[in-house]
Amino acid sequence: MTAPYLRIERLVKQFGAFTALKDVSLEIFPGEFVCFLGPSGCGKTTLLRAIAGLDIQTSGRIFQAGKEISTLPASKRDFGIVFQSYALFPNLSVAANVAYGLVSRGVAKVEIQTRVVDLLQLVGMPEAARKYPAQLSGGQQQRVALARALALSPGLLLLDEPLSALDARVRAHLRSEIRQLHQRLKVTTIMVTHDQEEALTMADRIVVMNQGVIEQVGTPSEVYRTPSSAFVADFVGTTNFLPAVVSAANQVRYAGIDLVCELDVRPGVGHDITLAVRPEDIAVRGVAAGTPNAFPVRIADVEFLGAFCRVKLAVEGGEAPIVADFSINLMRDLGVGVGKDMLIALPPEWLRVFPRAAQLP
Amino acid sequence: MTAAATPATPAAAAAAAYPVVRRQLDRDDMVMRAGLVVLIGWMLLTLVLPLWTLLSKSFHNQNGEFVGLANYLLYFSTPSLFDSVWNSLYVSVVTTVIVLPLAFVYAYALQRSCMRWKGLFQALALIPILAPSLLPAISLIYLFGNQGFLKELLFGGSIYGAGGIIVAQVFYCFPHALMILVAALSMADGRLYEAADVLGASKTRVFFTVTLPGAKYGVISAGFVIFTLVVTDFGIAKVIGGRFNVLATDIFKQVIGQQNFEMGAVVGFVLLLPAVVAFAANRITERKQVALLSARAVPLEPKREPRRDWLLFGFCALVGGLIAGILAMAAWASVVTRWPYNLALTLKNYAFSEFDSNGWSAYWNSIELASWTAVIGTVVVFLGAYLLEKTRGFAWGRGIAQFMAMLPMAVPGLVLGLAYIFFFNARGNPLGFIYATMTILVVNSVTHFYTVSHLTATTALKQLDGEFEAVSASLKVSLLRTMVRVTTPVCLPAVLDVSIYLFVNAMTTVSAVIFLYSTDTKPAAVTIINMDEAGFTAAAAAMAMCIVATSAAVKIVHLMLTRRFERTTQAWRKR
Repeated sequence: MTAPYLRIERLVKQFGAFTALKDVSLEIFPGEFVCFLGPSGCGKTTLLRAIAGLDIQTSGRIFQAGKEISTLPASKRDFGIVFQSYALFPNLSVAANVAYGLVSRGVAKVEIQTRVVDLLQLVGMPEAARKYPAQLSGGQQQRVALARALALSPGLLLLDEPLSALDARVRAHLRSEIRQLHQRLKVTTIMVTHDQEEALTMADRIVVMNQGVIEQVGTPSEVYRTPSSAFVADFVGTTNFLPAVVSAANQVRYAGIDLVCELDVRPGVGHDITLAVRPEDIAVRGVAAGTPNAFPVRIADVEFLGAFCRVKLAVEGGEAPIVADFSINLMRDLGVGVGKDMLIALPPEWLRVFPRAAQLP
Repeated sequence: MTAAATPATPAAAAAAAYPVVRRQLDRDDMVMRAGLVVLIGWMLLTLVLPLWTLLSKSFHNQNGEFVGLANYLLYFSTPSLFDSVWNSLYVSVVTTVIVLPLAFVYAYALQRSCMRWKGLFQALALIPILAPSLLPAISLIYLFGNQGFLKELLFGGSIYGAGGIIVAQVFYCFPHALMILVAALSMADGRLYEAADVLGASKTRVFFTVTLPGAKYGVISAGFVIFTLVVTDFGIAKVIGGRFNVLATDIFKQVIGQQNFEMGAVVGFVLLLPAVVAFAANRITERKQVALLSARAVPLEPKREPRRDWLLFGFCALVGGLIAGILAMAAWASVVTRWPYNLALTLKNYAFSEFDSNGWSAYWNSIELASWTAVIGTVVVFLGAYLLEKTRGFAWGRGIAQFMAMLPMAVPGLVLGLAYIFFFNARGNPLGFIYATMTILVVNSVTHFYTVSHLTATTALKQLDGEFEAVSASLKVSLLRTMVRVTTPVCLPAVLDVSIYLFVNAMTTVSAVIFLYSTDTKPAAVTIINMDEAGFTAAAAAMAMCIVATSAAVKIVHLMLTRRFERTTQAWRKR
């Protein structure tokens, strides 16, 4: 395994009595695209600003490229940054904005010019050099901000909710462009976002944060398929949470039905747990009376969503209906309609078990 | 911070294994801290120490013996002195209530409408700022005084007293409030208005939900500025107050009339009270203020709307006409041979050496004073505001500096002048050599007009995106360079406003310098008082006109410069 490019050790950040980061440790590898994902106030921006040296941590250490940078001011660290507000200098042309850091480096004029042209080309804005920020759309301004952040070829690119101020189409477009840009430049990148779709599509690894702690670190599919906590299961994607009780080794009882599942969690027989299953994992096709974890349900509601339908399944003895996503294909083949009784199964390999929290998320 | 030593959560406790870290300081931090230390030192020398000397004076008797609160007890038990407190509050509140709505509508018309002749109205409204406060008072005397030709309009009432003071104060304070409100209304995000428009909000609703909240901070500041200006102004009450005593005239009477410096000091500190309230309220509103103009905001450009534009035009024409009328009266009075008996025109009132021993040299003293005040003041104020607004860390130093920057607004010119006498004239003060020189007048003027300038600069700085400095740091560009390349150019209109404000105020002030001039450095505004007292009212009006003309000329140059800047460096404001 290669050495991490960025190592964060036991970071704590306090604002008065409020603890924004509680003992956070993390390793980020060279060339990775990492997303900090979490609801607002979870500490993701605080962590980013600590890495940048803009708001230094209360305690803990940070290493970048093998050197400790824990106490360095922002100006002594190696990073480029893009803010949600773009923060372009309004009185400078696009070219002057991009060249801003190069000029004070004492780079030769001709060289600066070529570099600015290259960078604007890179972000797909070759025509904008002479314009002023106020003459550009939000998406265009953010591209310029990106070019400016990349101008000094930083070892680390920090993106603080760069797409949040943009409308959906521009956002989706810029999302794939940033991703492509990253694949081309291979610059280690950290992006803060509260948008799970953004994180899932862009990141090599996602760091899910909640209330100042890291809940899970993993690839998008790891985070999605095997969430390590009920919070992650709920925050990333959609999940059914079913209250259940451990009834035997590798068996839980939900709404009077015994279900087989991998109990890698510790609680013994009789303990309350929460069972999590994604709507798209609920099996219908080929489910018969002998199929593991099969039980009867009645269709309570069907919501048409284009490529698939979101179906609410009422379970006798269950408190809330189970939500399942059925493909149109499946809907057609089985003649699914409101009021119909059918047999479904919760495949044991897709069931996750979490300790029962005081309140379900 | 000791927070990690007493952790708020178990998680933090676990991490206490690692010590609390402190950020290393880079060159920017050093420069910033050095700058703040210099700023604090400057303010200590020019403001705090003199005031401290004055305060201690108020606890001593004329022989220099400590007498505790005896002077204060005497003050509060003497009705003739104490009544002035209520008189001062009364004229200040009434003036504020009148000026604030007038100035807001006027500023709104200038910034947010497409009415005709905006430039003319802006210039017209700023004329009072170009004049010493004595001018409207002299004009009102010519209009409504014992020999005024509109005297009958008062139905036997007298212009001398509270009424005259209030009318003159409205004239005098109007542009001060207008300046702040114009600045507050000048920067707005056009998209907010487009959004409100699209959402179908009515004009009134847009005004109350977008315009007014956006300018709220400016309105509140303007209110405090007017109030404090009136409480602390000396010239108007001196000329037209008659037997209506206010705090400012009391100080003058105590110090110059009765040579009772100790009682003068007491009155001065009584005057500080309302200003302290203003300061506290200002701080509270400031805390609620957020940046209105982010880097991605689209500047607002007003759209044509005939009915509104003509209504506002009518309003501005009325207010502007009254201002012009008062000014014209003074101009006329200055060229009349002998009012009201011989109305033949003459220039003999401008031969100042006939009326005052300093003659025209007083005028040149004022020019020198105003120029130095503008140059030195603008640099100090803008750098100071930048240090306080745009840098991080060093919290206690910034807190102190911020407090001291607001303090001058609370300190009447007379009080500051008196404090300077005590401080710089004290035996053993190594800075004593500036006493009775032009330097002390400049330093005094910069300090006296610090707060409003500081607020103007701060308001402009607040409207910039807060991440500019973070971006600079990431690009390894020094703060100083970003200040020169970005912050200052973007704030250039405000910087120019500050310098002109300082020039004109130094040109027109009476109260700040009346205790501090020497025979060689006597400024023009002081000779107005002298000549008015000596009965040469026409010559006083003439000198006032000289000051107005000079300030106006400077102002016109300023307008031309601003327009040129708008065309060249401010092109980015256009969409």
